[in-house]
Amino acid sequence: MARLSLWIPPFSPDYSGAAAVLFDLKTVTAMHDGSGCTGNYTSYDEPRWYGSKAGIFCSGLRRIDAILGDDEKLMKKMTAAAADLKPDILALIGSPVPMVIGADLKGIAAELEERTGLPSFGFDTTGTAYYDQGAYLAGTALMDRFTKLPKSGRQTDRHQVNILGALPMDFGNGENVEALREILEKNGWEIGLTFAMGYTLDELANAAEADVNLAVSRFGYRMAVYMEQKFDIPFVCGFPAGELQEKRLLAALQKTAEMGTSTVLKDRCPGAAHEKVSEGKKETFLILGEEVMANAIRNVLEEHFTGCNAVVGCLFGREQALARDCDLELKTERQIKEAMNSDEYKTVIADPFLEPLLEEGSKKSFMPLAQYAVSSKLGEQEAAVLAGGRFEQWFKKGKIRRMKQ
Amino acid sequence: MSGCLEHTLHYSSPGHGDWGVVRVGMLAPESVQLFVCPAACGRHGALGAMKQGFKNRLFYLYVTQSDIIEGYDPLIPDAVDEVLAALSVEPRVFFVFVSCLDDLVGTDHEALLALLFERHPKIQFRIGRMNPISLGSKTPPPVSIQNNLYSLLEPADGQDDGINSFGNLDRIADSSELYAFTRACGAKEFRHISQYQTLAAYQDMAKSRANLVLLPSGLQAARQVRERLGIPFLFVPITYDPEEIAADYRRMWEFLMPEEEWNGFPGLLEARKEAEEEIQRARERIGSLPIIVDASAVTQPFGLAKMLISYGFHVVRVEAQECASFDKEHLEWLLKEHPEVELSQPEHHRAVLFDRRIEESLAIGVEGAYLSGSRYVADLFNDEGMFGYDGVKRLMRLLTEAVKAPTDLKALINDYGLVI
Repeated sequence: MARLSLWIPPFSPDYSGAAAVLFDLKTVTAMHDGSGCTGNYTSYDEPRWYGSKAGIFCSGLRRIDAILGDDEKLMKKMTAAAADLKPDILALIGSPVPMVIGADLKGIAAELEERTGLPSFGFDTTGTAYYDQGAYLAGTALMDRFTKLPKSGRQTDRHQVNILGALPMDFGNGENVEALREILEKNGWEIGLTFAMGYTLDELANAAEADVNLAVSRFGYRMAVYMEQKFDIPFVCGFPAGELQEKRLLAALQKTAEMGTSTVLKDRCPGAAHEKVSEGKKETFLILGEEVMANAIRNVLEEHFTGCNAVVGCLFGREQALARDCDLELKTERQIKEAMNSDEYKTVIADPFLEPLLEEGSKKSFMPLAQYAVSSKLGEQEAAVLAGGRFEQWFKKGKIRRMKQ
Repeated sequence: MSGCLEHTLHYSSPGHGDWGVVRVGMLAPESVQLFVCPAACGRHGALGAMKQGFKNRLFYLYVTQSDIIEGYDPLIPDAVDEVLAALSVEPRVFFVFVSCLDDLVGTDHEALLALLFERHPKIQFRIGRMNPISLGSKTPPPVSIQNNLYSLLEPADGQDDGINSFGNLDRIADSSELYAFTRACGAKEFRHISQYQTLAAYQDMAKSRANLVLLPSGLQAARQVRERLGIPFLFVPITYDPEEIAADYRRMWEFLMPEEEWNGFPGLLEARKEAEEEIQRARERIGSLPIIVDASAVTQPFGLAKMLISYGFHVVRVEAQECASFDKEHLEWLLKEHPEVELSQPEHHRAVLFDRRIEESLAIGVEGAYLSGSRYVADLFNDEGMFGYDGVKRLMRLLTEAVKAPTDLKALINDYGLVI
């Protein structure tokens, strides 16, 4: 049974991605559901929820409203909340029931905009896709509406960069994003928009002023492609895990800003390895998770281990432009399990919740690296900051654990 | 206090949630659960189950948009087979859970159950519903899951003198005088579903002569069991008011011992005296510290507020999204006698303004604590284990303990593993 999951929890869904993109803004957002979908987001997909004042709510959809298609009730609740909370934006986020009944969220949003005068959005998320897709829906809709064309031609002397693709599902509580910002600022880059963790509507409006975009996740890559097409801003796609990769990425940013040619840092780095390993003891890794971060980990491992063979297993979809030929798209628990137990890899790097998929008696090493889209706050103990030299610190901590020998 | 309860967009605070249907369903001995739903619908339940240690009994079949259009019924029997093949011990109970959208697509559950029974005659199959769009109906998820649990009880060969407690998810604490009371009513055993490890042993509850329903989510199940097994029930919602507790014991006596005149049950007077002494001690210790009573802690938040005010505590707010019918009298008393007490809806959209903070306060319940920013929190959820005068004593000790040191609320909420 292809879609049967015996152990792994469902991953963060599209509606959580859309909500996460709206989190920083002053909105009244309703997730159009009974309560559980909102609960997924607030309880398990949004580490920023505790202590926040984000205006993301549940519509309180009930069966009779779904059957009768009573949109008026939803609109009244939205306008009442808007009157009290004075938001900049109204938004409706879909879930499985609106999908089934064919709710016209965009149409309702248009009616809300008519009534309130506030920019209003409807996102047709369904709960059947992953977070990055919902984030992309929301991200592009917001940019379409708010991001202004640059005032003049690109000014490469300003050194302004946007970070695209920062979501809690990939970056948890945001420490990795903060470490990245420090690296960029220390190296003379002015950061425009950090999308979507820690940004303002003004920064979104001025995002097209940047010289270059840095895409740090698959969601970020898709946003970068969108911005390249719409605003002619080139991008670098990668994450600076490890000291050498930090230099590589900074050089790529500089070059891309100057030359205007976008770059995906997915290929083997020509730099020499620190540690030589003898023939026959070649290190082989399977890195499971989000594609851009997994690529970054592979790049740094290849620098450390000569002849290292590392394959990325994409859990949330394989983006052809980000993948090497050997990389895997793993859509089901069975596929993930087969890959993890393949003789081709000695070490598996993955969220700790995947560890039980290794077979009894496996001789493989397992290196836990939590991703919020998988293990949420339950995996926080195994989360790591990988930006710059922090990767080496994490790797040398000896967190590799031998399995069930 | 204004008694006006509004229907607004729902704010979902970090303290919002409860056990969820997964955890409640896991009370069924020797059971497993297969959720058939879009992947998204299962995330909170799965992570909650991991937190609670149940994930090895919980499985998922993710349906796609095509499956929903074409009907996913045909996928389920093979998925059930595959789950069973993966288990080292065959379960006796198998819940196939469906989600909100199933209410709208017309899955033929009866045909499905017949097919599953034909394939696996030793297993009891049930359709579980995780459908919060049914909230506000007669059978929302907390009710339907209890209906399922007690539907597993089969007609017994004979009746014994046992008494069951229904509705409460946690067993009443051993220290409660309720056990001595039920023994005085002739019951050798006061039974609760959580004490059974096997489906066969669980059938003892079908032999009991009466059901005491302590939480309202068990009422519908008790009615069904009365119809099906002939076991009568009495609804005795948990209260902390000594006067009401005394009346409840009398009601229970008259229900359980209709032939016997009420004799006051000797232990009760002493238990009440001790409870009132504990109230007095707590009152002295807590003084005039503002108290927030939250519906996440107790079934009758207005009743608890009334009781506390009556004994001299300084209740300033009740956090409750709605008012249950059996708590309405208390709400009316508060409206009339203490209009200064604030009624706040924790899910109201205005809750997100956080403009009613009372940091120097004691909250009974985590959601009220979060919204008010209370420094002190009494760690009570859903009346767990509380009943009678013992419940009063334990609550008072909780309050007294709570004000000794500020609470790490975030850690407390995380430990609960709440599911919405």
